[in-house]
Amino acid sequence: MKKMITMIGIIILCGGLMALSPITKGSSSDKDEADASSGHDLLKFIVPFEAGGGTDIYGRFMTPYFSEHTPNNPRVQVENIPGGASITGTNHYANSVTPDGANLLTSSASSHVPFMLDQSSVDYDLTEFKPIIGSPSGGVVYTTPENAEKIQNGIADMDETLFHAGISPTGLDLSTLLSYEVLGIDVKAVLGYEGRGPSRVAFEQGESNIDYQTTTAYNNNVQPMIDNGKAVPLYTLGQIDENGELVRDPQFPDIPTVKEVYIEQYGKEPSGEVWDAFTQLINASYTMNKVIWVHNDAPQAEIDKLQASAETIAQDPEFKEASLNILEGYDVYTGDELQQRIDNAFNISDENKAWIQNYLYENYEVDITKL
Amino acid sequence: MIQSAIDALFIVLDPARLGYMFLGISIGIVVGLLPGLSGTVGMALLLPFVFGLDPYIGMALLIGMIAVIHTGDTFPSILLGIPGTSGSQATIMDGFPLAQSGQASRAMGAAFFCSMVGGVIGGIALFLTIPIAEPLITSFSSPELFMLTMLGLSMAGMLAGKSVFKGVMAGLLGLLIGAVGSAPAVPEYRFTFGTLYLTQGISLPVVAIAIFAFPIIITMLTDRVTVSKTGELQNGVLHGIKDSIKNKYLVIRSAVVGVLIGFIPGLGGSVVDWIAYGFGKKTVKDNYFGEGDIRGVIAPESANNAKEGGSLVPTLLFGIPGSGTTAILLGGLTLMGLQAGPQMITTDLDVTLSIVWTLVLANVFGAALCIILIRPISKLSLIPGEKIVPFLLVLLVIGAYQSTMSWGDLVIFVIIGLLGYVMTVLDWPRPPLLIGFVLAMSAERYYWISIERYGWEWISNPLVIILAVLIVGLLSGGAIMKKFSKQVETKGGN
Repeated sequence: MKKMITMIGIIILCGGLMALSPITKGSSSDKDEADASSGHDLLKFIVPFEAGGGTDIYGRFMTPYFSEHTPNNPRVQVENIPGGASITGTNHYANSVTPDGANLLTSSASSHVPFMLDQSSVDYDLTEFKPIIGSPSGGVVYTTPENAEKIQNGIADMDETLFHAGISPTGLDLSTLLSYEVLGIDVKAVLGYEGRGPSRVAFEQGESNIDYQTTTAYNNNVQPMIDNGKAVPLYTLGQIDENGELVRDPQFPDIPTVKEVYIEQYGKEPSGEVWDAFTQLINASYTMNKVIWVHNDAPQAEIDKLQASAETIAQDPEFKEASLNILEGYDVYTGDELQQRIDNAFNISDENKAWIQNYLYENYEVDITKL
Repeated sequence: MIQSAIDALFIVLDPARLGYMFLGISIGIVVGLLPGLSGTVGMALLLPFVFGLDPYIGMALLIGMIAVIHTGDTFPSILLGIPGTSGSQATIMDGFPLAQSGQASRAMGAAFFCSMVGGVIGGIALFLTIPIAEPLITSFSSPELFMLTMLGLSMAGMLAGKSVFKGVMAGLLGLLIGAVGSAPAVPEYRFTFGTLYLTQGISLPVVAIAIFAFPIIITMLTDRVTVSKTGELQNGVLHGIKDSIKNKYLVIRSAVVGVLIGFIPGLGGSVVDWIAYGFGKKTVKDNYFGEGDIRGVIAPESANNAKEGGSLVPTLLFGIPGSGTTAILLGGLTLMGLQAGPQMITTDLDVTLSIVWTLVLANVFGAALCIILIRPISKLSLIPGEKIVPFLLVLLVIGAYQSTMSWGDLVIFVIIGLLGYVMTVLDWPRPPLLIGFVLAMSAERYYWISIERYGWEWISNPLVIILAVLIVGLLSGGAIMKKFSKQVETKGGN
């Protein structure tokens, strides 16, 4: 009997340890790696979200390529630190992770925009990180065929309020909400949906009648609705090119951008505070949608090595093919071009920042500096 | 469709893929068996391995695991009174008293058999709803979802036990705990006391384990007894299976409830066991639920496995995950080069059908495996409290820490655990608290959206009215029945 008890105890314990092993592996390796400056045999991608989300998948997708293209062929591992809508993990990376070049951060718009807008819980400075590789994402705004026709006939004559189903005014919705503002479309934002999936279902139910989806979801779930005549694309949010201009999304070469729609409606180029704030946000949340970083004060040799491997990854034909699916078909940015784009994206003028903060306060009663 | 289903069966039965399914089943049972580790943890463990796998193999692994979590999690619920995952809390209500009276094997025999039947029904439901999923899902807009959360909350009243006042208060307390963190509709944080940890809210596994496990552990230590008060284990597996067959309508009814709750996106499957338990309590005649009625095990166990089949419908076809587990499954799909969406029933139909088969097969094999394990594992209930508590404590702490891997989890674990202990001492019912906690966010979210979008006109939606009538019926029906039974009792006394 006693033997039985010990045995069961051991089995349970083994099970527990088995379940734990990936975590302990992740945390105990810090010290071992710190002094091995001659080349790490373990790289860690810190992902500030739970496993399974878009940023996590992005990090995991990159792991085999970093392993293959970095000298020494290190093992590459993802470590998830969820919480605070990505702020917890990013803060942790900035303040508590050894800057030895073996620890990298995978960030997304959810870390970029709060940093740009001085959200008070942000305890990291993106300018203290060196970008290694970055990828864009895109967004398409679509509506019902009837409303598309009305908008085409002239936004100024629209007498109907449109409903937008969104998640939160400070998230990715903000760019879309500002695009309505740019165009002068009267949209009531109903916020509180659980994610972009539920908000798309709300459109299918008629609970909302104007919506946006990012590239993959648009291709998979909105395109069928368009083919059935249930939805019509209005415009893409566009991409920011190296000169800071809003250009067509390479994934949607046939859909006009918000800028083109504006010109068609009002006969002039968009300009002014709203437009500046909008393009700034598109840059930080779409053109620089996902970025993998390393600490600036990591050993220079390590940074060079990572940047070199990013360059070769970008050229790898196998990577290019696989990325069609997971990176939504956009080309990745690396090296000086990436650095240049990051500098542009996060270098927000005080006026633009104040305008967005004020917009959030007046329309949604959110004081982002106190969040 | 039948032809494709048969083709998919052959894909699933390929020996290499079958091997992965068994691997998934073993992991699922271990994860379910260990209190505190839930499907989310199991998925997170497997995710790194599915990258680049052939989708059929990857799905065999992941779905094999998901399918049996709610089979394996029954062990600790019945044997120790600690939920194996948050999906088997209701099993404790009657399973644990049965174990205390030495009938653990009977309870587990019934539980595993019902898990199997429920899981198979879930798989069939997934298959049958594929063609009609779209109109079904789009018919639940925010007002209807709000009414469904209200229906869930009204279960709190039914599970209140003797004192309605205590039940309502516990439910409200649960709503309050659920309100911690960021509000669903406005970017605003509540009760976070300036900590970043609380902005995400308190995680369900921590609450579910703490509130049940903590008091049990204290009792085990203070009473220095084994769980089984009779000190012997009766052989009752077959008896349990016979019990389930005798109550076949209850099994089917509960499984259908499970499928429906899983099917509706946004409601969260975590309350499905309580809802099935509540409905069982309401509809079974002459029951003594809560004191060791085998039917109180049958109802939630049939429902929690069936839920998985239902919840895969919105996940695969609409990309809307209903739970943490299915959220990670979506990520797994992407890693294998698939995307959730309508193409899952057109170009990728064979993958979807292989999921159906895996679900069915894994449930059958998982239940069989658990039945074999009953004999060795049920000896756990003979171990004296002070010997098993250290092991349990380690497991529970690990489990709690797993949910967000922050020290805050441990602090919350102790606080909620103490609350649970106080509630048991004062004889306050704990199920209403959990139901309130789980539904707090959805209730607020859908109420807010309904008002923002429709004003008050949603009140007159036909489905909203039907649900309202159902709620009133369930609540008042309880009172009427209680009155009636009291009359009978007093008459009997005369």
